[in-house]
Amino acid sequence: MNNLMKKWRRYRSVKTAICAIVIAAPFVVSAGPSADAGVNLIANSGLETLGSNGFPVCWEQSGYGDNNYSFSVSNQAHSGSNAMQVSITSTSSGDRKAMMLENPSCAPDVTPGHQYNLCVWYMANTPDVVITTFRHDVSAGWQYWTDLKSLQVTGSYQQACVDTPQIPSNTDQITWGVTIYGVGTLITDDYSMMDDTQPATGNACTAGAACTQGAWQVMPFNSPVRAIHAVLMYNGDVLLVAGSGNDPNEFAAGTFTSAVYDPRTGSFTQIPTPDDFFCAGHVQLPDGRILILGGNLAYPAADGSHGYEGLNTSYIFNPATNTYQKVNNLNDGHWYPSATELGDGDVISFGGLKADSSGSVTTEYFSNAQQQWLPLNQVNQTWSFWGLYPAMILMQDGRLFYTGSHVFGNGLPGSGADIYDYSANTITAVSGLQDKDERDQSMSVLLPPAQAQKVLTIGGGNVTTNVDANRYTDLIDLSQPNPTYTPGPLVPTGTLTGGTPETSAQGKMYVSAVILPNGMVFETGGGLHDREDPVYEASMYNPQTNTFTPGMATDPVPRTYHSSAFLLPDGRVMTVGNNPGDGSFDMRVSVYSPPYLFDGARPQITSVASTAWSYGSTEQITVDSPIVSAELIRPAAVTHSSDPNQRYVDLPMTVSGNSIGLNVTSNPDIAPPGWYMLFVTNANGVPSVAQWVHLT
Amino acid sequence: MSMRNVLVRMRRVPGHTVAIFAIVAGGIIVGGATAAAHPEPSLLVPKSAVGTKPTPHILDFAQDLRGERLKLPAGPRRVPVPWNVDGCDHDYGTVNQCVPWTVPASVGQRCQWLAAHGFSPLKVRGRDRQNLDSNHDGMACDKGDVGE
Repeated sequence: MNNLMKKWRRYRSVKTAICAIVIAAPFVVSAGPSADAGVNLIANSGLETLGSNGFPVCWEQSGYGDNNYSFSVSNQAHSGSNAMQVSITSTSSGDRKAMMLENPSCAPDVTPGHQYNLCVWYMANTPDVVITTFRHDVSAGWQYWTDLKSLQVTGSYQQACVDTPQIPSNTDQITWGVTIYGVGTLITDDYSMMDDTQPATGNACTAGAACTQGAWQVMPFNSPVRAIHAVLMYNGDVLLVAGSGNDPNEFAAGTFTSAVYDPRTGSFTQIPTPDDFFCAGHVQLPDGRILILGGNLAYPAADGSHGYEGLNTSYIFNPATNTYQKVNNLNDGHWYPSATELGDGDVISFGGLKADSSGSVTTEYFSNAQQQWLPLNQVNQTWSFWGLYPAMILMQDGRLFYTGSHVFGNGLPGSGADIYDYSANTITAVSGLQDKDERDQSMSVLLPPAQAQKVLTIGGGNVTTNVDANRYTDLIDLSQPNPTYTPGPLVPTGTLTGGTPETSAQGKMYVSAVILPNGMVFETGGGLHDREDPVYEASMYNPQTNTFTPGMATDPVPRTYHSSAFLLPDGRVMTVGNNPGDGSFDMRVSVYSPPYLFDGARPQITSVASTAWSYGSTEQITVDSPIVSAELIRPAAVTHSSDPNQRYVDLPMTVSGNSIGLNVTSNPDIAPPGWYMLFVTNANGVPSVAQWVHLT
Repeated sequence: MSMRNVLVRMRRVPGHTVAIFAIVAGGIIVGGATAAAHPEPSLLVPKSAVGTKPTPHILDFAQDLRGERLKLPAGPRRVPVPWNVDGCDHDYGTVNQCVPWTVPASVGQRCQWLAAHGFSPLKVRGRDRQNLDSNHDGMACDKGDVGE
C-alpha cells in the first residue's frame, strides 16, 4: 500500500508537466519525466490546439435529445489559454458532452483487463454533470460504455479523478468526456488518462480441485422449515418462509411456518407466521423490511372443482423484531405474484391467481410513502394476465422488462417477452426468446454490472407437457435502440441420478443463477422434468465473454422444485429446498465456496465513513490492500428461480492509497433504494466480506 | 446583472450563450473572485445549486422499439386457469403428492417410471385420466395394472 501512495503522489506532481508536453505536440503520446510516472494517453489534453473550425483538435461535440445548448472554447483555462465550455440553457431530454474523437489517432488505445485513471479539471454550476466513457469493440464498433462519476458543483477549478473498470475484452480504444445533462454550464480543461492497472499476484491456491471448481459443504443441521422462499436481510440473517410448505395437511391444520437463519452461527429462530405465505411474493422495502404479498388461500380440490386460490393479504416482516405486521389488503388475490422495487422505492406486482383460481389481471402498487397498497383507481392497469411469478426487471429508465421467465406451463401469448411502460401504460413485444413455451422455471438475471443493462435467461421446461428441460440461454442488451433476444451459449450438461450423463439435448429447469462479487454468475441446481430427475451440474457464466465455464463442483443435494440459491455476505452461496412429486421436502442446507475463496488473502474493508449513502455521491472507505473493483449487490429475495430484483451495481473508484472514493450512480433505477452488500475485489478476483450500506 | 437573470436569459436565448460567457470571462461577473489582470478562472454558481444532488442521468436506451404494441383489454376480464396449472395430476395419490400431469415415459412404462421416482401404488382420487389403473380397482400402479 505504501507503493500505491507513492505512485499516487508522484502522478499528481507530474501532471502539469505532462499536459504541457501534450499541448506542444498534441498528436504524440508523450512519456512523463520518469519511466514509471505514467503516460498521459490523451491527445490535445489541454485543448490548446484548435482546428480550422475553431474547435480543439481531437475533440468533438456530442450529445442527443431535446435541449438548447452551446459549445465553445473558453479562455477560463486551468492552464494554457483554452478550456472547453458546454452550456445547456433548456432541456427536456438528453445531454451534451465534448468527447475525444472516435478515431484511431485521437482515441486512446487501451488493453483489455487494464484499468485507467481518468482526471479532468472542471467548473460546473449544475450537479447534473458526469464523467462518461465509450468503448471501441473490435467487432461491434463504438458504443456507450458507462458513466463513472458525478461531479459536484464548483465555481472554481477542481480536479475530478476516477478509475475505469477493467477494460472489457474485445476493446482496443476508449474515449471519454464530461457530460452535462441539466441546465447550466460546464467548463473543463487538462484531461489526463494513465494506465493504473493493478497487477494480479498470481494464483495462490493450494486447495486442489477447489481452486477451479469451488467446494460444497452440506451443513450438519437441517432447516426447521420448508425453505420455499428465502430473503437475505440487512442484518445478515436469512428469512426462510414455508407457510404451509406445499403440504395440504399443514394447511388444513392451519400450521404456517417461517424461520430466521443466522449464517454466522448456524442457528435458527422459529417465527410465528400469521398467514399462509406459501407462494407469496416478497421484496425488500427501502428501509430493509420485507414486504410479503399474497399467498395461498386454498389448495386444489380433489374433484377438480377449483384450483389454487390466491390470498389478498399482505404483511411486512421487520428484521429488527422478527415479526410480521399486517398492512392493507391487495385489490385482488395473488398466488405466485411478482414483486419488483421501483426507483422511487415503490413496489409493483403482477400476475398470480385470484381467490377464485382464475388469473389475476390486476396490477398492484405499493406506495412506499404511504406504506400501503394503492386502491385500484390509483394504479395504471393493463388488465392483462402476466402469468405466475413473471420476471419483471426494472430498466434504467423505469420501464419494466418481462423476460419471459415464468412459473408453470406455457409463456405468455405472442413473443413471450415484453417491455412494459407503466407511465404510458403500454406493452411492447420483444422478440427472439427461444422456445418461449418451455421457459417454465427458467431463471433470468440482470447481468453484472447493472449499468450495462443486459439480461440472461437460462434454461426452463414445461410442467404440463413435461418435455426434457432445455439448455437454452437467451441474452438481451437493453441498451440497444430495439432490444431483441439473441441465443446465448448452451447451458453445460450434467449428470442425472446414478451418474447417467445428460444427452446433448437435455438441460435444466428449476435453475438458480447467483451473481457473485467478482462479476460472474454462478449457475447451479435444477432438474430435467416436472419436480423430478435432478441435474447435477454447476457452471460459471462470464458476462464479459458470454461464456460458461463448466465443471464447477455440484451440490450433493438435489435442488429441483422449490429450491433456491443465494449469495451470503461472506461471499459464499447458500442453497435450500427440494420438493419432488412424492411430497417430501429436502430440509438440508448446502453452502458453496466459489474458487475465489481459495485464492489467497481476501481484501478487507477496514472502514466505511458512512453507511448512509446517497445517489450521485462519492462514498469513502478504506481497505487493507489494493483492489480493482467495488460493487453493491442487492440481497436476495428468491423463490421458484425468480429474483427479478437481483443486481450488481458497479462503483467506479477514486483511489488515493488505501482510501477509496466509491462513486455511486445518480440513477435510482440502476440501484433502487435499500440496503446493499458492499464488496471490494482484488486483482485476483478475490472479494472481501461485505459491509452493509443503505442507499437512499 | 444577477446570476439569476443571466440564467433566465440563457434559457430564453440559447444562441447568446457564448456572448454571455465572454462577459463572464472578462471579469464583470466572477462569482466573488477578484477581477485582476490575471483573474482566477471562475464560474458563477447559484447558491441554490451548491451541495445539491444530481438528478438521475437516464440514457436513451431502448427508444426505438419495433415490436408489436399490444392492444390492452378495455377492462378486467376472467382468465381461466386450469386446476392442473402446477403440472400435477391430482386424480392420483395423497393430497400432498404430485403425479406429473404428463408422465415422461411411454405407455406401459409409466408405472415403472413412477415407482422409480418414489410413488408407491396410488389411490385414484378422481378419474383415471392416465390409464394407470387398468384393472379398475381404485389403485393405480398396483398389482394387476399394466406396466406395474
